[in-house]
Amino acid sequence: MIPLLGLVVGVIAGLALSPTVPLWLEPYLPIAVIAALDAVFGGIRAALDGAFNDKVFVVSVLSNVLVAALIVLLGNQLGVGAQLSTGVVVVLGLRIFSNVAAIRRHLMGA
Amino acid sequence: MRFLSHRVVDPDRDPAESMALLNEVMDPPLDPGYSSWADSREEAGLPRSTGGRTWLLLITAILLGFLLAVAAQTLRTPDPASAEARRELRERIEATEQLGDERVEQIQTLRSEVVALQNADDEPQLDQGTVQRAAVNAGASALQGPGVILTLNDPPLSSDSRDGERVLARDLQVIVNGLWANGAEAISINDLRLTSTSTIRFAGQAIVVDLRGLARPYELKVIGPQDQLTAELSDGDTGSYLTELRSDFSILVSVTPQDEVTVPAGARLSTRFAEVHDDTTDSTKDDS
Repeated sequence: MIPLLGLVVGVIAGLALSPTVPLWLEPYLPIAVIAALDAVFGGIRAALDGAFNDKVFVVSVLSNVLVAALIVLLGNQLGVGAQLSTGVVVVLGLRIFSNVAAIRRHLMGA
Repeated sequence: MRFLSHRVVDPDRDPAESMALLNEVMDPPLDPGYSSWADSREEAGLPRSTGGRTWLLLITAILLGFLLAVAAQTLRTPDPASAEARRELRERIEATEQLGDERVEQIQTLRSEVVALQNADDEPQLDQGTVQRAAVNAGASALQGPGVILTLNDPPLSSDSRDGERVLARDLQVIVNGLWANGAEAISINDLRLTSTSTIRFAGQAIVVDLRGLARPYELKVIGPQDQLTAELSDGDTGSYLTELRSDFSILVSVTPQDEVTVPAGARLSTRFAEVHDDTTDSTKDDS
């Protein structure tokens, strides 16, 4: 319940403050969001398994976002930024779907 | 043979082992970080899960929500903004063109008023014949007479069309000059009368006559000696130019002689800087 409350507070703060993102940071935003989503679904699944650990969750969020941004940065420097972004999205998307499938099995037994 | 038999007799081999990667993708185990931490906590006598009520988690959740909202806002804005600008530009262009049309109508009303006032003048300084001849020469009145209608159009776009396959302002200039040189007395392009101050220019992608953009097809109405004009348009210099346009750039050209061609009056006749020279007064008096 408390994390959900925090999420709502964060969304409201983001909408209210609406900070301007510097231009060089913009290509990393979508990748960062997807990486964070992957960590969130992993955390939810762990919580349902009764094995949730807040430190692991925080570290997985940070490392996911950082590594994803690093891959995109590397791709941009090598001139294959779009392709590497696609690769990151595909891999993280697969993980999100499989985690969601596990969560669904937990909640509905199917 | 020895190699094969060795492989066959291997007893402990899991038949599903070669599918490990697929299994990993389709049904991945829980993140190893979570399970190892849970195991070590269990060994230490604590519950496996730390629960969701910690400050660390709250702060992370707030940051995640912030990230989501900021990303959504940042990545969403540019397209509507440009669409808005495009719509506004289009509206302004339409409004300005409408204003131009209204002004043309206004000019026509005012000109007819001027003519009426001139006629109503008790002591006309010029006799009517001279005024009318001058109006005809200047292009201030609509004219009617035998002539030719010439239509030019770009070829329809197809997969093998090349770059230069469109009517250019230069083409219209050459054709119009050829027509003037062969006795044309009045010419209009898409109902815009060409007068002594008319221009035919290229502005970006559009042909502009007297600062008004033209839309395809380009229809030239010409009043003049029919035989001479049709001869020029088929066999003369202009004719060979048209043939070149047809064959090299596949531009659609049609020439139809007509016994009654109507050419409208010109829209802009006044001069902005030039004044009538008066012999009797000192022309430099304005300088004092």
